[in-house]
Amino acid sequence: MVKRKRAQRILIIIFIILFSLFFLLPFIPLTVWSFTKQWPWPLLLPEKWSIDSWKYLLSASGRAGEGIVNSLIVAALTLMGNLLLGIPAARTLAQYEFRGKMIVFSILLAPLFIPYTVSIMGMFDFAIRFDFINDYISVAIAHLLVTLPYFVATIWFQFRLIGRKLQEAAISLGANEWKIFIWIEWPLLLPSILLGSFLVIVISFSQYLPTWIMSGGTLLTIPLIMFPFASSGNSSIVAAYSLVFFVPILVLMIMYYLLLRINSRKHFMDRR
Amino acid sequence: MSNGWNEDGWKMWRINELGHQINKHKGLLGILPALLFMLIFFLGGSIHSVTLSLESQPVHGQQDQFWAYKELLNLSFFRSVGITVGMAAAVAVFSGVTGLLAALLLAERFRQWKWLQIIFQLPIGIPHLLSAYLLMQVFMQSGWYSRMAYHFGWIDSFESFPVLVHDDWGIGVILAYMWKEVPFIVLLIYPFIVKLISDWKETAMVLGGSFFQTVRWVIVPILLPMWVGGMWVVFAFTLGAYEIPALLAKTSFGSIPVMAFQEYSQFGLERQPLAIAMNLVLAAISLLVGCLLIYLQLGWYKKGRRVW
Repeated sequence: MVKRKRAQRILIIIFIILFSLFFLLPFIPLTVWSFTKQWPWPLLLPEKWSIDSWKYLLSASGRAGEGIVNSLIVAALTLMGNLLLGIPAARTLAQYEFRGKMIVFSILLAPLFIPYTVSIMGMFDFAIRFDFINDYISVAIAHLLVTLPYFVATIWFQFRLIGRKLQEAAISLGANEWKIFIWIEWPLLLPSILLGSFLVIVISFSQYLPTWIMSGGTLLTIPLIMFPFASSGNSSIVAAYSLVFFVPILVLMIMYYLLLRINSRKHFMDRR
Repeated sequence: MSNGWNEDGWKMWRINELGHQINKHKGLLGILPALLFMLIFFLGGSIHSVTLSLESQPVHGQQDQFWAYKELLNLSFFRSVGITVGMAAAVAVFSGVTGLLAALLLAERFRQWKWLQIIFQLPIGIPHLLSAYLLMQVFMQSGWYSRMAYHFGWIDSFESFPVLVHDDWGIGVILAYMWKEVPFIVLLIYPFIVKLISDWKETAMVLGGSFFQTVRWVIVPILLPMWVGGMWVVFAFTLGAYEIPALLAKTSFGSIPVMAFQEYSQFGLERQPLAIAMNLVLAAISLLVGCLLIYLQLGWYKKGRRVW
C-alpha cells in the first residue's frame, strides 16, 4: 500500500515536471537563436554570436515598429468595441430572465464553437462594397467577432457572482441604473474586466487569418510580418520577432497584475 | 370597483403597472447591440459568403451554380476532411484529458506553488503562430531536443532522431496544439475545481470519502458539461485554424484550412468560391458535432449525471 502510494507520488511529480519542461524549454533556444546566425547541429550553444537580426529588425526594412503600432491600433479598437458591446450584453444575460435567453447566449458565443473563417470571407466582401471603411476599422470588426465571446463569457461570470442584492438595495434607496452601474457594479467588475481585456488584446495580437482576409493582406500587424520569415525558416530573424512579440504581452501581464493589486489594496483600505 | 377602489385609483394602478412593465424590460435592451453585431457579421457574413460561392462563374464558361461544391466531391477531399476532423478530435481529446488531469493535480497537490500555475498558464498569452515556431525549433530533427539527445549519447546523428515535424502523422501539429490548448483547459476548469474541492472537503471527510471519490461523485458530475464544452471549443478552433498546420504539417498533409487559404489567397478571385465551400464544410461539421454533444448532454442529465 505504502509502496503504491509512493509510486503514485513519483508518477505525479514526473508528470508535472515533464509538462513544465514541455511548456518552458522551447523559450531557451528561441532566445539563443535571436543572437546568432549560425548554429550547426549538434552544438547546444552556438560558437559565434551576432546581433544582426536585431539590427535588421530595428532598421526601416525590418518593419517591427510599424507592426507593433498597427497591432496596437487594431487591438485598441477591438477592446473599445468589446467594452461597448460586451458589458451591457453580459449584464442583461446575467441579471434578466427572458424567453429565448439560451438562444441569444448561444448566438453570442457561436464564434467559439463554429469556425468563423467563412463569415470573415463574407465580411470582407461587405467591406469592399463600402470601401470608405478604413482597414484598421474593418480588421478590428473581424477581431471583435473573434474576441467578443471570450469577453462576454468572462464578464457574464463575474456578474453572476455579484448577484442582484446590492443593486436592489440601491434601487430602494432611489439610485438610478447609471448610478448603480458606476458606483456598485463597475468597481466589483473591475478585476474581470481587466482579465477580459487582457484576453481580448492577446487574442487580437495573435490573429493571422482574420487580419489577412479582412485587409486583403495589406495591414501589416506583427503576425503578418512574421509569417513569411517563419515559413521560410530564417530562424534568427523569426526568433528576434518572436521576442519582440513577447514584449507587449509581458507588459500587459505586468500591468494586469499591478492594476489588480492596486484595485484589491484600495478595497482593503475601504474596508478598514 | 366595488371593493373600495375608485376610478382614479384604478387608472393610477394601471399606469404604474405599465411603467413597471417598461422598466422591467428596459434592461433587456443591453443585449441588442451585441446580438445585432453577431447576427449581422457572423450570420450575415456566412450567408453572404455562401451566396458569393453560388454566383455562377463566367470565367469558366460554365453556368453551374454549384460548381465549387461539385469540385469538392472527390476522394482526396474526403480524405482531407477525415484527416482534418481526426486531427482536431485528437487534439481536443488529448488536451481535454491532460488538461483535466493537470488541473486536478494542481488544485489538489500544488495549490501553494504559484509559480507552477503561472507555468501552466503561460502559453495562453503566446500566439499560435509563435507556438508553432517554438515547437518547430525544438522538435525538428536538427532541433534543440535532438542536440540534447546527442549530448546524452542517445543518438549519434540527427537522422536517427524521430521525425516529428513535417511528419506523416502530424505529431508536430498535435504537440503544438497541445502546447496551447492544455493551458486553455486548465485555465477554464481550475478555478471551479479549487472551489468544489474546498466546498466539499468537509463533507468528504465526514463521510470518509477519498479524493478519488470526490472526483467521481462531485467534480465530474458538476464539471463535465463545462469540460466537454471546452473540448468542443478546442475542436472547433483546431478545425478552422491555419498557422500551426501551415508551418508544421508536410505540404501533402491535406489540412483543409491550409488548402482553403491557398485557394483563397493564391489562385485568384475565381477560385474563392472553392475556399468558401471548404470552410463551409468545416463550419457544418463543427455545428453537427455540437448538436450531437448537446443531445448527448440532455440524455446524460436524464440519466442522473452518472458517468460510470
